[in-house]
Amino acid sequence: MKTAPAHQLSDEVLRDSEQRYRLLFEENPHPTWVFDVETLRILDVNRAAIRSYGYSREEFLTLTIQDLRAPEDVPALREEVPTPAAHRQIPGRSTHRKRNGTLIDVETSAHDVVYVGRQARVVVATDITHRLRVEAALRRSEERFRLMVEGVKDYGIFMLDPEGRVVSWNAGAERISGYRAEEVLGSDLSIFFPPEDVARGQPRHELSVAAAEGRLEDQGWRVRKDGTRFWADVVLTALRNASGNLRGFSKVTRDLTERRRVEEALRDSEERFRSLVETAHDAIVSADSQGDIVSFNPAAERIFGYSKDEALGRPLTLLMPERFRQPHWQGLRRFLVTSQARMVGTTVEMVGRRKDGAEFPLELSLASWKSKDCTFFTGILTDITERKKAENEIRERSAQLQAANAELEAFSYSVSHDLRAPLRAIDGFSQAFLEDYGNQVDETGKDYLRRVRAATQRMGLLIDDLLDLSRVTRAEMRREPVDLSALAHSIVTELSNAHPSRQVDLVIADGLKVEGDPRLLRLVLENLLGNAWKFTANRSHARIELQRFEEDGQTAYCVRDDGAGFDPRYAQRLFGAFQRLHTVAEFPGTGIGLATVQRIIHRHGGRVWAEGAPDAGAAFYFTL
Amino acid sequence: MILLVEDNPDDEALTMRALRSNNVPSDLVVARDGAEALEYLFATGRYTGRDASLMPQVIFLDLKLPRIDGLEVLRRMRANEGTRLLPVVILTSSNEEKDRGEGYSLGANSYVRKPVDFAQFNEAVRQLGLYWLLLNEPPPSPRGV
Repeated sequence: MKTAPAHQLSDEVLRDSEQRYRLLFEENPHPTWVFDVETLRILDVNRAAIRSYGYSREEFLTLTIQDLRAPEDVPALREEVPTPAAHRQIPGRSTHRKRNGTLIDVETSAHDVVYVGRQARVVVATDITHRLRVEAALRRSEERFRLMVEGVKDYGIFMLDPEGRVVSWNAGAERISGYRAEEVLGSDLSIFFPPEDVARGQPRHELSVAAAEGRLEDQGWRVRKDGTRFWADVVLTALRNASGNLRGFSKVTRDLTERRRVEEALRDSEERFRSLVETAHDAIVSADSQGDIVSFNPAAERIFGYSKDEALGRPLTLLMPERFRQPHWQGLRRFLVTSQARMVGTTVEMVGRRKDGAEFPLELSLASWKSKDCTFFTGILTDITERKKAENEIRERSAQLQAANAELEAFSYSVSHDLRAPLRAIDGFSQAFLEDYGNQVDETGKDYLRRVRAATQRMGLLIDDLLDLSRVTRAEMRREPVDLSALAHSIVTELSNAHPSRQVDLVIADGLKVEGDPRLLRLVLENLLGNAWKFTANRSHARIELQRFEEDGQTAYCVRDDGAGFDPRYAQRLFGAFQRLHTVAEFPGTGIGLATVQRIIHRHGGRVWAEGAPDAGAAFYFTL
Repeated sequence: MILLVEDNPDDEALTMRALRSNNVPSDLVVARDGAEALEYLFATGRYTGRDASLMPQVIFLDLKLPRIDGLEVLRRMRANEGTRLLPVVILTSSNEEKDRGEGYSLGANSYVRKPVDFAQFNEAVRQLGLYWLLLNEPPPSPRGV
């Protein structure tokens, strides 16, 4: 083996070291240079520096380190450089300028060396421009995030330490719970729970679940500062550092009280709607815009005979007789195309068809509604078979009634014409007989003929009164102002004229104004005053009154006389047709007048009653 | 001359008796239904050839008549120029408001209800006869116009 001489060896060693140094210097990935501490001139520079600063090696060697600095950095350099840095690292941060003028942030590390006999400094520069930018962006982002969290009003967002104490607090948490940050920071999370939950250990349980599973979601009642409760939706997330140690928890809380209330209200409303639809007596059927049935309630099942399952998805025409199907489709198409509704929003009578094919009348109320851009129709259908039957019955009855009325009308007409004519003949020829042949019969015979005549005349009166009575029932009622006082005066004047010898004091109250049918009310007064006149015929000096007075807050009218009166036991019978309390011999009359009065008063919605005593006068009262 | 339109022979007899006993100076022509009355007035049918210039001074018209009733007779009379103004007294049993209303609307000159009481009937006929035949001035004959 050949060995080199000592100096040779040391040269080799030196060369070797120099090469290694060059290698480290030259291939260092960070820009590195050596400058003269006194002149600041750059003495050496590596490849990375050349690459990143843009100067060639030759250009570098003509520069001082001032040329690498941003102009504003230069004064600092003056103070920085004289500090001796033998055997120690000088860390620094500065802004460098590349050859093209671009400024970069660098972190430098320097140490002093002796370079070719000169006091020099080796500087390793690391471009941290990008890192600083990322860091700034991160800081800004964190700041924005913090502001955002703090500003969130709808969510309570806060942090707990591993023991469950509040360490951060946002506006939403304050809004929801009522606690301000300074009041709540450091408090245990159990202050948000109702006492019964705290007693059950709920807060600890939530923390341990979140710690074990990383996350816990919960809904439940929580307590505000003022003691009121709110329905909270909570997400509790365990926060761990890179090495997996529990650092705390984040808690996001939402106040769902209102939503819960709305949901409950909606549920209630849906429940009510559902029970309404389920229990409705009427069929409630909904269809989509294709005309296919989408809901079919129990009443619909009962009425149409189809089960819900049979009906759903089938076209509505299922429920119609064949002849209505075509118009139905046309109507549906027209509505969908033009929104022109002929039936929507109305109630119409239609014909339905049951499963067994039987048709029945129904009443349909149709509504349309939109849901997610689809049109739906809901119809409420009432089976009106019974109603129709009742209507038909009523129609038949009223037709019968009308016929009966017409018959009565014809009957009355005929009575009025035909029944009187024979009477007139009986009376007339009796009279003619008396006139022409009276001398051929004795007094008894003449008396018989007089009786025949009296009977026919009485029959004539009966017919007239019966016609009055039936007319009262048939006549149209009018309602207009009637002056009873004036009416009474005109009637008693007629009576006085007819019986000028009678001595009667007439007391008629003034201003008796009423509403009623003038013709019928005249008939009432004619009968009552006529009766009073008649039943006072035996008084040498009679008194007849028409007065008004109040009875139970109601205005009543009274026709009073001081005549023959009547037995009060029969007061009720007075108003029956053909009821008479006196013989015709005592007082003439047909017994129909008061029945007529009662009918007229009843038609006016009033009452009529009588008071009296035998030989002590009578009083007839009526209201209108 | 009086034209009595009356289907009831009893009423006819009583009316004639009342006129006679009250010395009402008039001939009496009786038509026993509405059709006959119109034929008489218009000189048609049974009365074709009658001198239609001879018109009664007054017509006593019953309402309830066979074939053509009294109101229809009145309607046709009033529609005809020759009989438009002839005095017509409705003399009837009925006092139905309907009849009275229609009678007057169709141009009746008077409406008298036949009383059942013959004395009253007698008086009514007497007054009618005297009034319409003696007191009342007839309308001008259509041909004089």
